[in-house]
Amino acid sequence: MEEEEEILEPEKDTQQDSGLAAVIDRVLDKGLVINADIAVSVSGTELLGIKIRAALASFETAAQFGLQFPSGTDMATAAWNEAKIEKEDCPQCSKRVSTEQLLNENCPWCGWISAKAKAIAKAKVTAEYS
Amino acid sequence: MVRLRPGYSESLLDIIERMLDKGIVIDTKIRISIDDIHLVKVRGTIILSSFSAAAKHGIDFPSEVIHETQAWRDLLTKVDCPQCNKMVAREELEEGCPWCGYDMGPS
Repeated sequence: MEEEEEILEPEKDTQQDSGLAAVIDRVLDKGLVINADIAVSVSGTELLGIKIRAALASFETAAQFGLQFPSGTDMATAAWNEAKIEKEDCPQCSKRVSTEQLLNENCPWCGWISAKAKAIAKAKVTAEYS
Repeated sequence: MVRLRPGYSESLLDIIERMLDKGIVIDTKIRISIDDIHLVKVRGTIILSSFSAAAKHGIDFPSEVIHETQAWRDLLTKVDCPQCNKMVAREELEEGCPWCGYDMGPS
């Protein structure tokens, strides 16, 4: 039996930005507010009133925006302290890194250097040679 | 929010993100009647938005949200860099974006 040889070629992942997981990830990261006031009346009498005030977010986003957590949540744990640190996506590798480190130093994952950090480094070099 | 990254095509993710960042309001009045007899009337206002859009436009958050966090302050004082889309304080952006070095030019 002859089998055609299949060549495995690396396929460029063009869907990386639009998968369901990515959408959910982004929505939870940005936070979602759902507010609704709905009144249903049947033949002149208001039967049903619905008032929704909902905020949907990941733990990290919720902590950063100071959302209320159910009673009994211990907010003093290391994970919560970590979540409260301001973070940004690295423009190069998309990892979450503390904003301060990313802006003033570099990305610890991929080594990306911000314009600000470059300017600081340049100023340092100029100062040394003058 | 405009993405200026080269070679960046609009994906579902971007569309959703942009929609939520702009905010969605559904203001509706539905009346169902048969033979001029009003049967059901539905009146509803619904808002869907991201946290940042909601905060900027004074949308009601559920229960007591603590507003003294950095994230809230950032939302009110920072703007998006036109080039890299990162949130930057306006004064900082005028001197050049600290992320991508975008220069606004003489204002």
